[in-house]
Amino acid sequence: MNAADDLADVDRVLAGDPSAFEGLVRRWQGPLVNLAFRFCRDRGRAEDLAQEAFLKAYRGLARWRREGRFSTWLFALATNHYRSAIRQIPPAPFAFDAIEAPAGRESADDERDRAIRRAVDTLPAKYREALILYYFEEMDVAAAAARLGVPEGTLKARLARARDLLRRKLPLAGSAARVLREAQ
Amino acid sequence: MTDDIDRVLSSEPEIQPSRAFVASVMNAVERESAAPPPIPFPWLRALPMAAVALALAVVVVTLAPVFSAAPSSVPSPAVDGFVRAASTPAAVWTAVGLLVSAASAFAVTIRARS
Repeated sequence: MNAADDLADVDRVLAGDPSAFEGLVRRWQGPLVNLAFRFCRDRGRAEDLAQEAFLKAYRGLARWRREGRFSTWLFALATNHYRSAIRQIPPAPFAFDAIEAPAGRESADDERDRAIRRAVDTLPAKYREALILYYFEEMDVAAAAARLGVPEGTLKARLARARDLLRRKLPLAGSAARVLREAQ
Repeated sequence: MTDDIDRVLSSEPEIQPSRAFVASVMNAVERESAAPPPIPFPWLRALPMAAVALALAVVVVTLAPVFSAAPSSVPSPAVDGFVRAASTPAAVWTAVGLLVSAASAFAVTIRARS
């Protein structure tokens, strides 16, 4: 990803050529849709959220102060949009995308992985957002804290609390999955 | 447990945006760019009216104690009620609030134009 390409496209858009925005969309569609997917666990909604984020970026392009990379600004804007959208309309507890294979064919590891993801989805928003951004930023505390607009210490505390909550939730999630599998 | 969480959450499956995604975003962008810009609030036309309304409010608030102190001069119960309401501290604070809001909005508009 070339920051100079982003800058050139932004300049063209601001000069009155909206079609130059396509370059920005092509370069950043993957990361933005994937980040949205981690928030909502629904492919269709992830694309809707990413599209809204791109549209917000287009409307606010003149307000980008060029103090950092364009991508940093774009991701901050998208993260804020995803967070507020998910808080307004939380994802369904069992998203359609999560239904992939019959439960009987799943290995114990698959089941455990799915239980962990579901447990994360049920965390309070501030802990869930901390986990999502920490892992999206490849476990970079500083980057995730900056994305959330909180001090690093706060993020670390939220991560610790999130893990603590997951430790309490997961035995229940595991047993619930077992009960469901035995019932089928 | 922490290892499991790290393993699962750091190996999230990557999804590919649909082929129509870029086109869909660009359609929305084109609609946005083709739309006429929002009509700015006509401050220059509204300002004289706002000034007159504010002046009236100030006059009412200033004269209200005078009228309420002289009940014989109040022509009707409706006017009496209005004057009494206008002389309450809440009405005074409302008038001050409106005045500050109008001044602030006007300052923002002037700054945006300059």
